[in-house]
Amino acid sequence: MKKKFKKEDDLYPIWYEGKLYTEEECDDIFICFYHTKLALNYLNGVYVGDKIWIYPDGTMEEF
Amino acid sequence: MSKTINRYIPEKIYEHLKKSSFKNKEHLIIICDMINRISIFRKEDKDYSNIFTDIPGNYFKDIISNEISYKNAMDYLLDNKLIDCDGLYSKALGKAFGYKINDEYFSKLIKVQVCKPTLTKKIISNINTKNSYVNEKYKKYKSFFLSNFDIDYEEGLNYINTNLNTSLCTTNSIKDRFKLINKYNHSFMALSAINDGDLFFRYNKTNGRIDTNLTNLKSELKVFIKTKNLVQVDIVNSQPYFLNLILSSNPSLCTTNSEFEKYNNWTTKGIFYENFQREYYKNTGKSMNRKEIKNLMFCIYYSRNNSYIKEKNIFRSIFPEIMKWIEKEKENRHNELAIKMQKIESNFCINIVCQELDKHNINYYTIHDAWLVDRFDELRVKNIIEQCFINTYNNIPKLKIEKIN
Repeated sequence: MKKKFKKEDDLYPIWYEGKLYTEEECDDIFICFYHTKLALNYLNGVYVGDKIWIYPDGTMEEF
Repeated sequence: MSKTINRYIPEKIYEHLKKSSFKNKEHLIIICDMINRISIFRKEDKDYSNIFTDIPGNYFKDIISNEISYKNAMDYLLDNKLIDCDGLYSKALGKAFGYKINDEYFSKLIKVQVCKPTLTKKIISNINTKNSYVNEKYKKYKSFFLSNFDIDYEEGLNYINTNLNTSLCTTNSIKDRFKLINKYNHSFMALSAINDGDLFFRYNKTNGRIDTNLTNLKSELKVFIKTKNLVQVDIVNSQPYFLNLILSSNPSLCTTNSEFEKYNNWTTKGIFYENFQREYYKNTGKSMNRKEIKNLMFCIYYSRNNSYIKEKNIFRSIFPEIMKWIEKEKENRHNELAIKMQKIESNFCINIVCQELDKHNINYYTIHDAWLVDRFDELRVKNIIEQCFINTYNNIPKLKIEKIN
């Protein structure tokens, strides 16, 4: 079967700080909040709440 | 008069093109812009080291529809080593050719204008198509956002330029300079997309959140939003508070004992993190600042049941029944509670509050659990939000108002 070309809406793998993370390698909290690439900031973090963003390795910071 | 469209290419490529005798220079610009644009917005080059980005040929051909013109432009860029191609293509594996700007030409992006009608029409049509779906619930907000959201471009550029120049002064390594320029290009493109009206507004069906150019804009750049006198209205300790709302709808928990009352009291008054900080110190003798407590709380709420055990035990010692309930919620799939809370947040903030603001003809922008409104509307907005909370949950949390610009 032919595979579709990789597109903008493929969520994984995802780059962070020079490392490519598969879904299995991503922090479990990050996965809970990452549902679309459009939600990512330019460092590849996603918004949790209360002004905090989470990154694929689990780092939590304001952005 | 035909409309011109802004595209962005590395300044070293621009210098080359000025001297080039290639006939359709705008085709070269379209291809170079697209390589940068896709790399930046697909968010794949997170090492900022200028890596190959896979781009199916039809992406280019969608704009440069003449096959021969497209091929000539691509050949020119490759033959003159302005761009590189990884040469790897496999239909069976879903691998398109990867492209990147040649390292020799990698530099700060600059704005160039494209005015050939066949190209500009196609670009405008693509922008309109991506925002064409409209849900009645946020139709008014979407229309307002797409027509009004703008940035003070020159001031924003000055700010990121100053930051880049300061950082470059203290960096000698070529690799680090590359990364700084690439990071600058990311901010530059975020500002340029807003300035060009290349806005996105997407509803996410998994969590109900609305993602826009504003929601992922760096907070220090919000000061450059063109709509002046903006204030941000926040729900204080919103995540613990939204959990409180879920707990309130669970009769077995809210009738249990004083534990729930305590949780409700802390979150509603907006003192949850501060009080937990105090209890944490009492239990462990260790002090944590507000930010650390906030992060810790997210770990307790959203991580798998078998991680952060020590931290969860501290939460358990203060809120045993609530901890038990949280663990039960995450028993099958650990992300279920997080998604439930994101849905409660988006349903309230977008579907309930924004619709009410629409009825009162108040303009606003949203950032998930916060609203940006005109300073002169802040009291009206605060009252409307509080009334929505009363009507929906019979409870009012503490709201915080901060000046944006």
